[in-house]
Amino acid sequence: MSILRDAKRTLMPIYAGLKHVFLKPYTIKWPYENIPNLPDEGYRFDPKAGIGYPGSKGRHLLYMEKCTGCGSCDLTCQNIAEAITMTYGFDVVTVLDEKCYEYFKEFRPEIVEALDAILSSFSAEPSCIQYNSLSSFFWTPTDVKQIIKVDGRYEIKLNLEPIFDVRAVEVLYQKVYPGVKKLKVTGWELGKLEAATESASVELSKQDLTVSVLVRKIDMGYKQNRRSFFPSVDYGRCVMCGFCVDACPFQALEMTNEFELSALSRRELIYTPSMLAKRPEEFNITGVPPELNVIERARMVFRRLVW
Amino acid sequence: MAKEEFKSLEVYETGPTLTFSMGPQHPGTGHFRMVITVVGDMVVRCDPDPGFVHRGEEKMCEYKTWITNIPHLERPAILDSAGMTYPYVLAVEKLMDIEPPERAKYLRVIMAELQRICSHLYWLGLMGVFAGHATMYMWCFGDREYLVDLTQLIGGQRITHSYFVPGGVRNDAPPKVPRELVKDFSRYYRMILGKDYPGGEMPEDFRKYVLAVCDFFDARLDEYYPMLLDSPIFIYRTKGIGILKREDAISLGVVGPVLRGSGVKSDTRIDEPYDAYPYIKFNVPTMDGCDSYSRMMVGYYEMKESVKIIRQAVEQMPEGPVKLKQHPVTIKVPAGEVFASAEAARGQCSFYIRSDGTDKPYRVKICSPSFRNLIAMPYLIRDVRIADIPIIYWSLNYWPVECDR
Repeated sequence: MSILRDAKRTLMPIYAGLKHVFLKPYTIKWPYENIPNLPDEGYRFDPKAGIGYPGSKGRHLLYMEKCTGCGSCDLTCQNIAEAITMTYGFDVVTVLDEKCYEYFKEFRPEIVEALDAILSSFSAEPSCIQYNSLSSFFWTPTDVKQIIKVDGRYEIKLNLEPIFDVRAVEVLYQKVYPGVKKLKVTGWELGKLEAATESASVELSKQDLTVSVLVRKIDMGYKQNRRSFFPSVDYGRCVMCGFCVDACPFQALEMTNEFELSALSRRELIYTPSMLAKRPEEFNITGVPPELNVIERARMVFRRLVW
Repeated sequence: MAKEEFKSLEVYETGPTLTFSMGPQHPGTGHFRMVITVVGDMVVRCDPDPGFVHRGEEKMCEYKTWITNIPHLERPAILDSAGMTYPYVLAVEKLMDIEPPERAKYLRVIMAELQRICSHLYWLGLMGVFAGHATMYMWCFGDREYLVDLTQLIGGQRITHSYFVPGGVRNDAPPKVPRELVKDFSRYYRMILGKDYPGGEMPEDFRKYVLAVCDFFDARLDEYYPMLLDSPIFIYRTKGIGILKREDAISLGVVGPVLRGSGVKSDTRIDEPYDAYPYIKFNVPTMDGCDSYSRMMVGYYEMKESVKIIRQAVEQMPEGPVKLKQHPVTIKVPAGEVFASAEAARGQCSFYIRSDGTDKPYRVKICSPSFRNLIAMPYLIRDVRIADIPIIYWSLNYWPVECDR
């Protein structure tokens, strides 16, 4: 009797498993196939009713026209993951006086090397990752956007995305100094440094030439947020708990169903307000690897399609 | 372990011994070390050495506010995040003297039971790996997807939802399920049960979907039985291995499936019912074998009971609000001290909280189930063969992170 029972016990797993050989596989071939289990909507919170709406807790979505820069999200996150930091947007302007501008028009090498160094500092890779330092990583190709004459001096605006950071002087130290320091070799001297939260400047001088680099806060022109003070999120730290969404009294923060947040460096995981304001469909950096050809892609989904 | 202790072990009555360390690499669930003394192939002594994943959760609680404590308290047991936060939330509610709305109680029960199944599936799946049965691992993780999807629909994330807050839950269950998910699921439903998905006119209805997942999972559990639990390979490896007698289990103070595997009918959900558990009928499975096999079977039958609980909770769940009206992040908790416990996946999890009336707890003491089951390990891993160590270790469902906190 016991032999029969053991024989049955031995054969039953084979039978139970064999049935599944003829069934369709469960596996989803992501990213070649869509993941069906994502809720379409993101997690939202209604401050009046005091209740959240169910949805996926993925990357945040920032409504810049609603955000007042109160910093409630930052305050809440300080206790959880310290991922959110309130930041200003900054612009970098190079200021030339009359004489330098004349030299600049003539493309004299003295002034060109100075401008070249300032421009090159923006396209350079950051030398190291500094924790708790928020800086946007998307540098557009640096060149001159426009030249304006203000009070007898010429302001050269660089063609940059706004740089988001906590203080203006941080932008100066991290973004401008690496290139400018190279100028010391050719006889340029770093002059006085004026540092404040909303603006910072440094003067460069060589003999009678003076060039100053000015970091200025951008006014984004939102009525409810005159300081242009917005949250940035570091997704290397964020745990996606969504309590910042709960804390926002103006419904300016939401979560989306975007979860593909991988990056090749930690700096790329810092999302600036202008990136957070984009919807996931506008700003989709992942998907099917483009380098794969049609046959390889077809092979990946073949198993699922056959049954 | 001190050097003198090592020396004392070197000469043992039975002959020359060998002392070596098992771990602290990942023995399956987290960083944990066992100092094992053997004579030939027989283990004569085992000294568990926890603490490799100590995170200072209790101290961290004193620096964070009442609500912002929730995300980090889930971390010790990520598969069973509801089980860890449940007693914390119950304790804070007791201290504030508030009661969550009826619907919130049922939603909490559904979430807790879903995560209990997820955790037990991990247990069963890895038991397959430890016993050399790879199919079970694949099956458990494949089926776990549908339950994780359900928790994602309710809580927003696959794991660590931060769903429970003092005064209710953070959001209601969604009214509808994504159409693609229903389409995908109905195919597997037909494959396993041999009949159509019972959607009717409203296939995307959340309630119907949950019931269908329950049916599906129940049918899958029936397939698990012949596959692993009734297979002779598994029985010969686990039956009679690691016997923890009923009296020993009680005197050592173990909890959860380990205690129930020794024939003691003890469950916080029945003994001190909380939230919606008094309104739900379910059994507490116990086994009298007292060995690894019995503990595994208790886990298996508990999953069946959890499915029963989810089914009842979804059918009985009333309409209404799910959260008391309060500030979403800052809550006031009066001074006092409180003790609350809930049944997590691995057993009774208890919290002792002391408040001095500020926005942060004064002291939080966590008594996690794995910490209480750890004491049984040196008693069980004795006079067994080295090959039996993984089986006994994992039959305790020991989770180092939860133990070290």
